[in-house]
Amino acid sequence: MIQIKNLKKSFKKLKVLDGVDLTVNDGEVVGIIGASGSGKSTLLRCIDYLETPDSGHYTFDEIDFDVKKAKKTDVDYMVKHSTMVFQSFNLFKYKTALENVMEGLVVVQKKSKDEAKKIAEQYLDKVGMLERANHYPNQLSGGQQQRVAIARSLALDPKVILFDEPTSALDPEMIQEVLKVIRDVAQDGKTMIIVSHEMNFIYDICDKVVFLDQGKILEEGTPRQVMVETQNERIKQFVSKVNFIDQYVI
Amino acid sequence: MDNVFSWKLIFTNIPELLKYLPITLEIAFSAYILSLIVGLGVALVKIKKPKILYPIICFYVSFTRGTPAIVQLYATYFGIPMILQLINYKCGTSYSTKFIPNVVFALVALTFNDAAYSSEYIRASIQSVDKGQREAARSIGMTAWQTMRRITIPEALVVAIPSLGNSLISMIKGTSLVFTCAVVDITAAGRLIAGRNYRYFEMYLSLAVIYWIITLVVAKLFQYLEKLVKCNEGEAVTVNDTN
Repeated sequence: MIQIKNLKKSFKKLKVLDGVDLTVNDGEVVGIIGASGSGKSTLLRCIDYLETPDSGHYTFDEIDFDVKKAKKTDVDYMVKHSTMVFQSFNLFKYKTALENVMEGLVVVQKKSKDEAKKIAEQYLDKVGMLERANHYPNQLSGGQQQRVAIARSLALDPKVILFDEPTSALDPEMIQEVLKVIRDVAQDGKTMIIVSHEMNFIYDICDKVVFLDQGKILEEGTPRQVMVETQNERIKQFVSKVNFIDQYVI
Repeated sequence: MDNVFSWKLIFTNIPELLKYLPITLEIAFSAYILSLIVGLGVALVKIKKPKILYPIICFYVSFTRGTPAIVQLYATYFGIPMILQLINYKCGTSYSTKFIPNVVFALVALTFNDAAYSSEYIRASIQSVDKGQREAARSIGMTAWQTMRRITIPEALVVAIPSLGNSLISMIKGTSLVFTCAVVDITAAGRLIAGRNYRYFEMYLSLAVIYWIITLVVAKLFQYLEKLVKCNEGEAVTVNDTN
């Protein structure tokens, strides 16, 4: 469904992505792991065009384009059909939880207010936030905000949801409630790409794991192949340092 | 000498002055609204920095902020007809400003004067909106214009409210200069009326009372507005339950 070829992106002289190839099949959950600064977030942000890549080739659903000759309609199609869940939630500050979820339905998908409200409520219910539909973001805890943000993404029925370290800004207590929601979404068969430092979670939930190092993919495969059975010294070193509990190794 | 100053006159002047209040308020509010629109445009140019427009706008802001409003009013009132005359002379056309009411000159000058100032705080307010808000809007597929209209500007407005109030207050007081364009607002009317009995001092005090009351109302209005939007943000509470 998504195929990225030779994606490159630099900030000034710093090469952040140095020729990344990534294929994501329909319904697949792909985890991207790696050290800070390895380009994980930038890779996600390039898919949602929050960063414009320098070069590369995208195949997204039925469209197909080269970054250097990208038409606005192609890019817009990809942006419209992929949504991002951010590390800092980024709920619209002056809108209630319900209005946050309705916004894209009404403004982008041009649904009627009543219809949008119905859909929004349905998704808020799914993430367990219907009771707080009329709360403003700063009346919600971090975990609750993130669940609303996930509902906002889901409601648009995107072809792919991009999770950019969705639990990194949360208290340990709240991490689990958010992970549970993401797990539910994955079980519904949504295509997802997740950047996270929650190694156990990635191991559990992903069909495929990609290890990124200095803007390049070092290894990709099943979670077991990459995180346990790897022969690569760099990955071994990384996995041994993060709190990846060895219960799976045995 | 007991009639050198008359308290009574300060208040008896007021009803006659109030007849001209609509003109003052009309000029103040229309110039204010126009200056916000122009100011927004200028602010966007300052943020986006398009090649040709940017230096022109910078020059405009610098010039307008660096010269007194009264000079700008005179320059507009006398300058535009003179430029037209020159054009007519050179090109053989016959444009005329005869049919343009004086109040338009005052409006143009006040608008562009205020826009130079308001553009600065509008720019600052827009840039104060968290980048994440725009990214979230982009991520759900909103266009740049939709994001600007539905997310950035409403959020920037909240930040800008105190400055917006300040700007309206200074605009109301700024209208007292429109006599330079031969428009009779309350200040100009006050001078004319005082000319009959030479009670200028009492007249200026009457004017002060009127201006003060108007600006008090405006200040209260903006305080209320600020409270209103703060409510819309929702009161910050600590939430511990994780239902």
